[in-house]
Amino acid sequence: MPNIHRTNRQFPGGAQIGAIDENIPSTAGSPVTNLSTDLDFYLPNPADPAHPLHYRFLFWNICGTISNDPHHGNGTVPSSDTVATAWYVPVGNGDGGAAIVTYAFWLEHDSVVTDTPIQSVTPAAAWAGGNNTVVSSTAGSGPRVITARDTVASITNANFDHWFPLGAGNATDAVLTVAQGGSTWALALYQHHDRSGFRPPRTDKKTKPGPIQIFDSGPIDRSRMVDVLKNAQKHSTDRMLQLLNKDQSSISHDDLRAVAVELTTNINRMQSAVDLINARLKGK
Amino acid sequence: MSDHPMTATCRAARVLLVAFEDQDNLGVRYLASFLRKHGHEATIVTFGHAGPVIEAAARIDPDIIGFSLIFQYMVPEFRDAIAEFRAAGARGHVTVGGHYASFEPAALLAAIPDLDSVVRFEGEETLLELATAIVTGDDWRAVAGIAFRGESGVAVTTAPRHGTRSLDDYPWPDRHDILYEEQAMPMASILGSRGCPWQCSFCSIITFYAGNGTKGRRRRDPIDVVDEMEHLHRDRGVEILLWQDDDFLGGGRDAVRWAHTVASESIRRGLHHSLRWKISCRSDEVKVSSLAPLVEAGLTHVYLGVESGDADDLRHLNKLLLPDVHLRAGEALRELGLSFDFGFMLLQPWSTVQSVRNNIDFLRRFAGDGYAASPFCRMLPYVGTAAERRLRDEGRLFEHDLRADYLFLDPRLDVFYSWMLETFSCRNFDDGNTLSWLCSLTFDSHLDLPHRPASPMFRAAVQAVTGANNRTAFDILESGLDYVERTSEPATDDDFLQMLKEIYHDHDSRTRGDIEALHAMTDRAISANECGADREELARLR
Repeated sequence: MPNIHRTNRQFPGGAQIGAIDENIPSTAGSPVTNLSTDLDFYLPNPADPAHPLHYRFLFWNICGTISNDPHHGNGTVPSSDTVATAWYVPVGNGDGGAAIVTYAFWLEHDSVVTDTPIQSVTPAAAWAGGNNTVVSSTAGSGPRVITARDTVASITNANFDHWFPLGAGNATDAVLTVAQGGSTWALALYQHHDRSGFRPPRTDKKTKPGPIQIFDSGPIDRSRMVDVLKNAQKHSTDRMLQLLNKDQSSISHDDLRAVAVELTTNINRMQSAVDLINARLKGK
Repeated sequence: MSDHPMTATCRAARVLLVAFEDQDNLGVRYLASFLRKHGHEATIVTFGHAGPVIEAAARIDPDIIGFSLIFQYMVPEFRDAIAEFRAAGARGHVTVGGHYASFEPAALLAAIPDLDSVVRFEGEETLLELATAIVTGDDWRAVAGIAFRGESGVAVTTAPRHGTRSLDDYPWPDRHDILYEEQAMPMASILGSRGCPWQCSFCSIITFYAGNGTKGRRRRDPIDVVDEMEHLHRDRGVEILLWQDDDFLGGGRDAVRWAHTVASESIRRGLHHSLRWKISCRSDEVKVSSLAPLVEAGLTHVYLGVESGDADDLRHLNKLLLPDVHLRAGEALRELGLSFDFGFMLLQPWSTVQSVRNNIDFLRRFAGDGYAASPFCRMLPYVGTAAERRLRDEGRLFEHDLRADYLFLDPRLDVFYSWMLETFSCRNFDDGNTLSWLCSLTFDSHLDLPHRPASPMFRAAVQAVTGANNRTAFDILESGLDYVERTSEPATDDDFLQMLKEIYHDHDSRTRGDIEALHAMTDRAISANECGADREELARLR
């Protein structure tokens, strides 16, 4: 039975925001209808408690289906684990410039990659080429006609599917057209055409939550700390257990040295946590 | 400039300049502005792959296409791009410039069949004369400071060119196509000088400029420098200046006075309110008295050329200082509240197990607290350096695919180095490596702008994460070194070394988790501060 991993994330980096982090057991092939989230989302601001952090909903990615209605997110559950991610952007973080900012978004991985999705732009003066993801709205004359690349290097075994402008602009096939002077963000969506290959994001992620983030005493950090402490112990314990289960005569000095090194890495992390607590106590 | 060819009697040459541009590539941007000043047309296109170059060439129909080659390992990519460009029907004279091209023009001409010439050393005057000769139909092979393929196929180098002594003859670099206004944190490169007065054995800066007949460090008029700073800040919205001077304080007391003039003039014009700097310098130039005026003017970050913490290594590298000087520099930077990063060659061609051990001990003292993210790598024998010549003289230099390489005197260090590359590639070397994230967070955590004030707690968090990662890297390096020292015939795939690699990779994953959490913090802080910032006040300060 596939699970739907439900979270809110900050666009474009993907950091989780808020405490929603749950796995919803679901049935393959069943529809997900009208999943709802808040248009505006607030979090405590540790740097300035009087001014909570304000996020504005951008789009849903539900099982690989993108939509921009916070109250009616839809998709279909595939045969394996999947996601329902509400993507948000911090309010006040926009540059306000006259530009079209594009992002290559990998649907299966529920993430933005750094490659440009842009193949070409007319007028040519509006785009610097290379891996630039920004198209000027003012350089050159006429509407900006942006053609997407079919593939980008960081997204393997997947192709361009369609544009999803988050503001101004019209998309037809691989071409996004934005009027001169218009500014917008636009997602170029890439996906495997064999949808059975839909992979859950972040289960293959090489990162783990860290123990150092202890400033926000809200529930999210407490739960992270628990995960981190579990993770911090897991490998050393495993290696120690392997060692204890071995025939004692076959335990080498190198085995013991490796366990010692691994434990030292944990001590390093714990030392940093202590340093940080001391910094906080000193009111740095 | 009266000695330069005039363009009044000929049509303007169309020059397409192709260059990498992670940060503003001032090399080609100075070329472009110099060509424009003399009536030619210059267009810059970023080198990534051939497509944009071909597209630009089809639009411009250039008389000259100039490629800026920074690293010699990029030669095959340039060769393929130039071949593709030719196959697409592009006409025009193809030339290449840069350090490697300047020192090894014959090898480059042999490696790239479609290449017509090489512009050697500083290129402004040479490229101007080449462009003029090509559009007037004059014999471009007579231009000084180039190399080309002679009739017999053998490379011919023309007479050396003597560069200008005064950098103030050059117009400011052309930046018209850089969209600073659209960057979230507008950041520009700037040059106050060219050259370096030191003679480090691993560096080709001194020999590169000697190729133009200039010596030491040539500084621009400091008032003109501040004019450019002011333009970038007030007219283009730039908030961070990345000084590309190889040694911002190099040149003794005169150089410090020059830097102080830049600082005091920029304060007088009010630039210090909302403009921040990053500079590069040596450890023995880091003194509180020298840097304090720069801090007042906006200096926030220093790149320090540390290179080694072992006295013998430093002698081989001809750094002319001892490890304690680096430690004192680190203390001074901490006292001034500046963030810093540094270059560090854990290994160099004459390394011993003991020198590597000394270096690890040094790193623990220098960066074990995580105040700076610690790099470590091996010295690469770049062409044009004294170290490369010495290796060649010792018969230890071998080349493949235009890349120079060497083995260590102690073969155990070859094993150690191979293992180090495998183990720390994700940390130090790959695209998007952990070290670069830690360095940028360190920079970010010290950056204090009116609309984005620094947070002491964020800074402490970055230092804590960096400290845990640094110390773990040092522990694992030391364990690996112990192993190759105590083992008769170590190999990189030995179980113990592989276990160490796994342990580091596991730790690196956790560091990346920390980095994600830190980024979430900084994003929140930025958005909160931007919401509350008084933009009118900011505009007034500018």
